[in-house]
Parts: sequence; C-alpha cells; structure tokens
Amino acid sequence: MRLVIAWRNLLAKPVQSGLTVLIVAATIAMLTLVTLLSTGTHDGLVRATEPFDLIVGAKGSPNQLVLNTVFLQDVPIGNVSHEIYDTLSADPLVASAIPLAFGDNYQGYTIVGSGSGIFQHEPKNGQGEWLQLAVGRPFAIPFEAVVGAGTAQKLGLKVGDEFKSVHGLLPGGHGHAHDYHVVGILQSVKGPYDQAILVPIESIWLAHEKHEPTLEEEVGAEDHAHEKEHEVTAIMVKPKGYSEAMRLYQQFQREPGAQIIFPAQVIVQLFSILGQGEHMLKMVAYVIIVMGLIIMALSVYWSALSRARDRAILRALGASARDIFTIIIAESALLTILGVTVGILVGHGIYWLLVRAMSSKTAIVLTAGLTPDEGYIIIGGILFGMLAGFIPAVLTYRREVAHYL
Amino acid sequence: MLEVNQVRKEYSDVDRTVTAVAVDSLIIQNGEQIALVGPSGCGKTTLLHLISGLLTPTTGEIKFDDIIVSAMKETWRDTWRATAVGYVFQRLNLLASLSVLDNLLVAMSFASAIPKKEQQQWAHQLLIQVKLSEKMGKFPHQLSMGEQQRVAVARAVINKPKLILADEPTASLDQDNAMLVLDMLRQFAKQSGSILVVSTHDKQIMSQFERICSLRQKAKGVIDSATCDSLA
Repeated sequence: MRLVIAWRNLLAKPVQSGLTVLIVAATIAMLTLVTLLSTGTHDGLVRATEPFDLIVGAKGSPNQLVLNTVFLQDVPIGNVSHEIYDTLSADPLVASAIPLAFGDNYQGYTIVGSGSGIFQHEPKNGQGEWLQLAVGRPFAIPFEAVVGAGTAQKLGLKVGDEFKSVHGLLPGGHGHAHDYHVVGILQSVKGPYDQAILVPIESIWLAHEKHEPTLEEEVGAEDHAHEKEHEVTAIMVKPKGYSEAMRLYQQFQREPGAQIIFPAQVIVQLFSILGQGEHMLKMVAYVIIVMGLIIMALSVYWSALSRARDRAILRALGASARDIFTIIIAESALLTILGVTVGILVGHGIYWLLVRAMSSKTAIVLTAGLTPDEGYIIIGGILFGMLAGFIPAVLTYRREVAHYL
Repeated sequence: MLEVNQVRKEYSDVDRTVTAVAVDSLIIQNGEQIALVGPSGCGKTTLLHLISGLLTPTTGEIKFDDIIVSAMKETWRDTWRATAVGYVFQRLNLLASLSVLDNLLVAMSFASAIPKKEQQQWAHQLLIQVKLSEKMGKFPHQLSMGEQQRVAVARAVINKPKLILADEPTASLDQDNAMLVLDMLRQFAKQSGSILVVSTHDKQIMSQFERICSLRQKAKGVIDSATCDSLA
C-alpha cells in the first residue's frame, strides 16, 4: 500500500512530477553525454591504433604519420624506399610487414594500397584477423578493390561495382584512367579503416605510371611523394615481441630515410599535450555536474516538500515514521529512477547522433555502450535523489503534524 | 473511558506565551456521545488534536482506558491512533491522490484492526452504508462536499475505533446533509460502543446530544485560558 500511495501521489501531480523527472533526466543526460564523449573519444583513438604496433614512414612529424596512416587523415609526410620494406620483411625481428600507399581517393574516401598480407594481419595473436570480409574475397590482382564497411554503406558500393579513383585526398582531383573492380566488402572494424578502400599496392603504382602532375599538384609536393615508382608511404610492422620492437626502434634511429614510431605512444603523447585543455574541459564539466546535481536535489526536495500535508494526513491516520519514510523515499526513488532512466536513454540518444555525425565527417569512431562511469552516475543519481527526498522527510517529521491539518 | 486532567497547551513565541487551550477536567465514559462547543478560536480543534495524540499537552495528562496517551512515545502513539481513534477533520483531509476506496484502505493499512483479507469487503460494506458504493473509484475532487464528508466519516470509523472525534463535521453542509452525517457518526459510535466527541457551534447539532462540553473564553480576544464544563 505504501508503494501504491507513493505512485498515486506522483500521478496526482503530473506537472510537478513531470518537471522533476525532466530536470533529473536533463542532468543525467548531460552527465552521461560528458562521460560518453570523454571515454568514447579516448577509447576510439586508442582502439584505432591497436592494429598498428609499429609504423615506419618518412622522416617528419610522428603525429602526422599516425594521423595519415592510422586515422586516414591529413596528407602523407612522404614516401620511403621499397628497399626498407624488403629489409623489414626479411628482418628476423619482424613477424610481418605490410606496405601501405596513400594518395588517391574515391568520392573523398581514402584508397589504401597494400599487400594481400593485410587480410591476414592479426593485431593480437590468436584473436583473429583485423580485416574480415563480410562479402566477396580479398583482392588478388591489380585494380581489384575491397571496400570498408562504412564506405560501402555510404557510397552504396557492392561486389561487382566499378569505380575510378581520383588523385589526392579530396574529391575533384585529377582522375585516373583505370577502373577499380569491387571484389569484397569488409566487416566493420569500428575504426577509421571502415572509411577506407583497400586495393593492391601495385594498382597505385600502375595508376601513377602515366600520371602527369598538374602545376598545382607540383606545388603540393607531399601529395606526390607516392609518384616515385615502387615506393611506399608507410609500413605496418608487427614485431615478434616487445624486446624485438625495442631493438627495431633502436635500429631505425640510424636510418636516414625513415622513422619508426609506436602509434600508441604518439596517442598518449597527444593526450598529454591536450591534457591542459582536457583538464579545463573537465573542470567545466564538473561545474556543470555540480550545478545539475544541485538543481536535481532542489527539484526532488521541492517535490517532496510540497507533499508535506499529505504526509501529515497519513501521520494523523496512524502512519508511523517508518511508513512515512518509506513513502517519501519511494516517491523520491521513483522520480529519480524514472529521471535517471530517461536521462541515460536521452544521453545515449544524443551521443549516438553525435557518433553518426562524426563517423561521416571524420575517421575517428567513438566507442558506444555503457561505461563504468555511467554505473556511478546511475547509482549516484538515484542515491542523491533519494537523499534529497530524505531531508524534507526529516523536516516533516520534526514539525508537529497538526500544523499541516 | 477518556480522562482529560489539568491539560494545558501553550505555544511560545519570541516574547510571549500563548495558551491555546486549558481544560481542568473532562471525563467521558465509554459509549458516551458529547458535543464540544465554544466560540471560534477557543481551542476546540486543539483539544481534539490533544485527545487524538496529534499534539502533546504542555502540562497535564490525557488517559484513555487507563493508557496515558500524553506520555506515550510518538511511535506508540501513532499505532494507538491508527487503531483506537477515528478522526473526522475540520478540513476533511482526504488524500486527493487516492480514490474513495483507497482512502479507506490506507486508513486500514496502518492499523491491524481488520484482517487483511477482509479489508476490501469491509470497505465496500461501509461505502454502501454511507451511500457511496457507486463512487468508490472516484477521487475526492470529483465528489460533492456532502459526499466528501461521508467519505471522511467512513474513513474515521473504518477501523472500528473506540474513540471517534469529529471537528465541525457539519460546518460546510446544508441541513439535510448535516443531519445525515451526524446520524451516521452517532449510529457507528452506538454500534461499536465508542466514545463520540463532536465539536460544533451549530445549535441544532448541539440539541442532538445529551451532554455538551463548553469551552469558554475568559477574556474577549485573548485566548489565554478556557475551561470545560459538563452541562449534562
């Protein structure tokens, strides 16, 4: 009967209850969104680097090398000699070396030239291949293409389709003569390579054999680094182990034409550079959270306080302090549970929309799903709401019942 | 038997103390029905609150069937009130969020007077008696004042209390409804052998009672003391 009373009390004041739920929901949605964005961005960036133990590329900014190779953003620094790839392939410290070549696109989606070994690449031994086919087969000969899940979905590409690549990283560049033939569609890797089109590296070399650079392209020399025959833009290197990775790293310190980087380390450094800004953002988020919690507490408090007369009536009818506390806590719990549920759903809804929007504009894929922080938000939000209802319960109990009758 | 001995209720302000009610002695035997009369503000409601245990006296003692109600711990007083007291409040105090039936069930849920499995049936039976069986699903605001008053009466007697208190139960009713509500209260009290105390300033209502207890102001405009006289 106590729960029935609590529920009916809430239904009897729909505007007040609705507003309280709305305020709680808005607060929780905001908290959820801040948490998801923070965790999602961090995890999304870290996860994208997972398939890349080591990357070898031209000398230059390691950040640019990671952005280009891992996230398929920015322009390549330049190319490295095919000999380096050959040397790495034969190096006993190396488990696998996969060449990558960039520089062309199809409707803005990056074309990645690579070897067939990319389909056998296992980021962690025994955990399956990184790139798995949803439909079709891997490429076997030049000008066959395997399309990333995101690219296939956005462009409507399917096995058997043909397309022509364009030079550069943006649509509207100089078109190549050869047609690419789609032979496979990848499963989603929930990472930047969902937005890629994988082709045999020979296709890139062949496509550029007869390519005459325009004056504008000559100015952007970095765009044309791949035009030198049989060079590669980057090499994904999987070392045999951690000590082998460190030895490789040391070896490359003496290499004049290339650098080797740990992408995960670059990302960590990037986070540390962004740390100050992130710290400020976190401070702002905390202020918002505290304000939200205060508003939520006031709303639940106000809601509980406005039912003081009903409680006095119940006390007059013989309800014990325990009965009243049960009813008040049940009311506050119902309001906050409802608010928290709506808030979590709305927070996830907005986050999902943001993820969708971001995935179509950038190659960074935000992670989704419940985070441990959300668990704290749910438990904390409900406890905080119940606590806010607890205060008027005590105040009501301390005041003489007759005052309200 | 209800005994009110040397009871005084005072409220302290910053610079003064106001006596809300003072009663030297009032004894009501089991089964007795009395009218409590007096001018507005003389302390009738305060006295009823004191008797029901909603307020505790500043001094004095209230006893019911040898239990000193005024000395009971609050939790025990709550339980005692739930089972032994039926109260028709001046403002009715029906729970707006609950239906007529639920208003009765709530009152029963705090007392252990009626076995749980019989509660629904007893509530229905009582609503038939107060001619509200057709409106048991309605909410208080959907009822007329007379109907609301009858719900309040039904709620007051639902636990078959030994002490029924009614604070101006007919004040906002027309003559016919007033007499109907009073008859109901008197009938229920008679059936269960309960004490009935009805506060009123309606002469016609007073005339229905054999015994009238009067609270009088000692000085006009100053409610600093009142006495109770039995006019029986």
